[in-house]
Amino acid sequence: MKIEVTVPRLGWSMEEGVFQGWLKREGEWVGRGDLLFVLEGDKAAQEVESLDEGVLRLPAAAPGEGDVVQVGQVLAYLEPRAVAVGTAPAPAPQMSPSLAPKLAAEIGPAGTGPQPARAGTAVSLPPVVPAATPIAAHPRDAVDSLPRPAVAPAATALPGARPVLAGSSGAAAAGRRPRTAPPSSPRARRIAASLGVDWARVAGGGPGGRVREQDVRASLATAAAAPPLEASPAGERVPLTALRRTIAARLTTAAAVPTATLTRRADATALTALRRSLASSTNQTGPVPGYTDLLVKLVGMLLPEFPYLNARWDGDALLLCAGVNIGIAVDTDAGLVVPVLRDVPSRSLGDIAAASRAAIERARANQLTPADCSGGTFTITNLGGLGVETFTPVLNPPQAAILGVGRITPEAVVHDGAVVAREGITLSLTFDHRVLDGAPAARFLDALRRAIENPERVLN
Amino acid sequence: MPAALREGSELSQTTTAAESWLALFDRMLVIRLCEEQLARSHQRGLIHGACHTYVGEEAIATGVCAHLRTDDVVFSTHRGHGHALAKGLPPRELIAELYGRETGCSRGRGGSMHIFAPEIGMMGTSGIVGPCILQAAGAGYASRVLGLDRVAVAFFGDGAVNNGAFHEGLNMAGLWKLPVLFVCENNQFATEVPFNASAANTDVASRGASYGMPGLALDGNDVLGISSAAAEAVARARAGEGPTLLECRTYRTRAHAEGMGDFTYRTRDEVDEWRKRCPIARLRERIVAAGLATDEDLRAREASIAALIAEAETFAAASRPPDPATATTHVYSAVPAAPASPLRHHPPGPGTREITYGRATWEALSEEMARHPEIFVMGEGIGVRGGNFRTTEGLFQKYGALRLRDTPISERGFVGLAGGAAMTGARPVVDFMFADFIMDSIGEVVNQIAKMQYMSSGRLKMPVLLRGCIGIGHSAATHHSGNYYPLYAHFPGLRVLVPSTPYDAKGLMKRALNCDDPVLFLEHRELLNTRGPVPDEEYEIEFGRAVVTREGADLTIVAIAQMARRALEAAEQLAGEGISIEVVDPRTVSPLDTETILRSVHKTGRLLVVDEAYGPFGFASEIAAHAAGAAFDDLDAPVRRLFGAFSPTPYSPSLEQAVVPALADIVQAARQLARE
Repeated sequence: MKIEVTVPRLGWSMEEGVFQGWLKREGEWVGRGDLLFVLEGDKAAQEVESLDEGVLRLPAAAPGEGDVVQVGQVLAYLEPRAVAVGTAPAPAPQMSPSLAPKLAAEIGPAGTGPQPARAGTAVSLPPVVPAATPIAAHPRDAVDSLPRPAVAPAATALPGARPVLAGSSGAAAAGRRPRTAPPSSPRARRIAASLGVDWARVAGGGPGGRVREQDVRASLATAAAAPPLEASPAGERVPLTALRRTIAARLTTAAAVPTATLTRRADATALTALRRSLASSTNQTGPVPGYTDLLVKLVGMLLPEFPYLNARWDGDALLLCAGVNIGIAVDTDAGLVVPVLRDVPSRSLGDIAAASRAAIERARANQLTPADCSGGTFTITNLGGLGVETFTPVLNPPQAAILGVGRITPEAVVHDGAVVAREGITLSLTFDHRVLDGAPAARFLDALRRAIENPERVLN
Repeated sequence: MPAALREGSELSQTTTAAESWLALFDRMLVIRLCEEQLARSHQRGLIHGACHTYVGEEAIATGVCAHLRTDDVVFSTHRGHGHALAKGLPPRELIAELYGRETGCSRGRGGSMHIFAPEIGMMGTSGIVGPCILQAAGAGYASRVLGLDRVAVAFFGDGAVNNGAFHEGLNMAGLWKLPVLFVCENNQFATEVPFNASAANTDVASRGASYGMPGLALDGNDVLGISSAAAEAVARARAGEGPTLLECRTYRTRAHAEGMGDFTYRTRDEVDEWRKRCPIARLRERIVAAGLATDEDLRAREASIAALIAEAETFAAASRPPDPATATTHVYSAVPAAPASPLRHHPPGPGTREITYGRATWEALSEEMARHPEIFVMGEGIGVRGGNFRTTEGLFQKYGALRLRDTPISERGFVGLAGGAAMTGARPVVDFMFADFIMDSIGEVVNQIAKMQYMSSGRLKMPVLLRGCIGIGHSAATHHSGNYYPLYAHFPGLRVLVPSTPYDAKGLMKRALNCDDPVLFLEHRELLNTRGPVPDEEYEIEFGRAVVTREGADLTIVAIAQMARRALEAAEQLAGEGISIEVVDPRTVSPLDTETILRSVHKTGRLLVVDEAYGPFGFASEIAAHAAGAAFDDLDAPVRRLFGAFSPTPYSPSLEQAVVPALADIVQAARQLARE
């Protein structure tokens, strides 16, 4: 019995990915645990391991490098080791066609296909391949021979945050319901198709988020209002990578969260002094900590005192996170990724610096795994290195807050009645206003300012 | 033997010529040999369904039908092969029918129990016991209305005389002196139940006295005796002296139906005993004894009849089965009767006179009665009184008792009678006052009236109008408020009209009175006094044409009768909230104009069906199913239904209001759906 090789879900919200190529050749034996292909998910490319064994068979329509593939899509098959010519494989006992659907209905929910992941639990699903144990005549065989039920883990969608309109991609507009598409009325789908709108990306205003005709039309009106969309100028169309789609979806999600941004200057003179001393230190073993590392450590030390900054909006409750895991925004050629540094308060500055350096290197080599990027409770984004002094960071949902760090600049300040030269830095804190109010956010920011101005304890 | 049982020989020798005796002999032999062929064919598997033979009883059909003209009409039972052959049906058409061939007398639609040859006055056999009695009474009534001296005959078994149809039919026939012969073939078993186990009074003939008609008990195996009695009865009927009940005591010497066991309920000895009284053998002896023919002559006649039957069988076997594509033709009149007035569909504009709903239907009836002398009305209190709801006010004075017939409270009886009258050329209107009462006649409506055009392969028309009030309101309680139109719409063959305005009511009733299909005209009692524009000039409204009573963009409400009006009020109210509602009134439930409904749903994307009747399997469900199927891609929200509570109608106003969709309910449902 041949086994399907399907596109696994990497990380908790992945719907599609970009196929990056096979690690085995057609006809080659694939053992259990062998790495089989490379798939770019939401965050990073990953080498996918085979949980089954067999001879790799690539269908004619197998995706090629760079193709967008859907989670659950069949990529190839693993066949049992080749049988001798002329020896027919033992036929599997056949289930009567009339019985098979019945059995499917009866046992359908158990053991067939991936289970929908629950919102809030970061479940990394294994590749969707059935158990290879050949239990002939077991009802499951009958089920496996049936069309696989569409996996529609609607619960994996972000609560209250449905992507809003993205041009007409065509495939979804044709009417087939993507796996996590919102509920929609038949009329909405018909109208969307006639208007060239991808209804699956329309925000539904009906019960349960159902997309209705009016939602489709409204989305079109919104799109029309957006200025530069009319008459595409000449230019190169760059296909969206999975990462770009993820970024777009997340930022769109973030846009639906009511946020506020507080900005405040801090005296960074002591911080720069500390950095210099660290750089010149002779007993330094690892890499020299950068400003981002210093801020990660300072923020990590503060956050346990400010649980609402280390929190999540969790639908019907606020989740005050137990650990402090700080994501750092890393710019790569492919786009922005956010590897996470775990359990920051208990780690030394040197440890943090080493971990962040490694993460950044892996990010730039496109080697981050979904696990590297999940579980963050707070994010720091530093554009100071690029000369930016002040900016408004965009929230990284479902986290409650993100700290933007600007360039450190020399400035003249009045100190004890005299004008003196100091180093200054601008801190911008964007936070989920549903989770906390402005005053506690301001108190956190002020505490951070004080920590920056007295940074020595990072060495403890 | 009872004193009333006549010795036929005395009469027959004086009244029957030698030729007639030989004709009787031939006819009985045709029946016998044909039945024996059918029994043989049944055994060989050539007959697909039931086959009830007439063997042993041939004298009765033969003796009675010998005195009938072609235009006289016969209504028969499940054991009707003999009646059809005696009335003149060629054996080949009978055999072909049982073989299920297109050359069969019912074109393959009937088989043994639905034998129709209206061209020769054979108005059908029936799988239901009793209706033939009522239909014969109806044919007799039609003869009176049409001024014909045509006679009707009902043949039925002893099993029918304990059925209400017998009592109701004979009562009305006796009451109105209808030209009918009621011929009871008392073969002593109702299927396998002995007559003395089912009748308190086993002297059927004596029951004639209860209905004011002569009742004669006859030897059912003596064709000469039956013939002479029938001659007298037919003459009485034709002379306008009224009906006669003939009880012919006989015995069937084959099983109830071919292939069934026969000796669980009677003995072989008893059957053999009756075989010795074979009516054909008896006549043969009489003919030979009287010197009218030799035994040899008779054997020659027998041989030629046997050849005729053999030829008939060959014909039937060689005939083609009917084209499956025609399986559903003749459910309704193939060619709808032309309207007598121009067809219109949309309500008139302003400036038109306004009359009540009740007056509108009165005008329709009055105008069409003037146009069609074959229309007559039956009902309780519709004569001189003019109808409980003034439906026939003044018409009795104009058209007299024959056309405005007050009836006994015998719903099954007069509905069955109406069916028979329609089969034979009249256009009956049955005024039920309350449509709830139709339920007492449901078998006549569903099994006979609805199916008659089909069973007769389109050769009989069924222009029956059944009208009555429906609807909940004014504490009518549960026997005067039923909304049963979904039930009638379920059956092929019926037209079901449920108009909501005076304009629609008049146009639809006039169409109904000009069409050839049976129509249920159901008038919501709460609407009878409502007023609306109705033009002076005559018009008709075609069935199956919905009307959009209000245009809108956001939501479609489909509703009929009282709910159609209430939906308009709801639409008006919601317009104030910025919700634009389109209201569609189908006007007729069968046929249902799904096209107009779907067009509206295409426009609005939302459908609410409001109905006063019960929800399950109902009007709203049917429309919802159509929309879900044909308008799937038009729907922007699920179809919603609002319908009456699943409960009998209570009396107390507080309870009554709770079982009907109120204006507020409609408003709320529509508002919710519009925002969904």
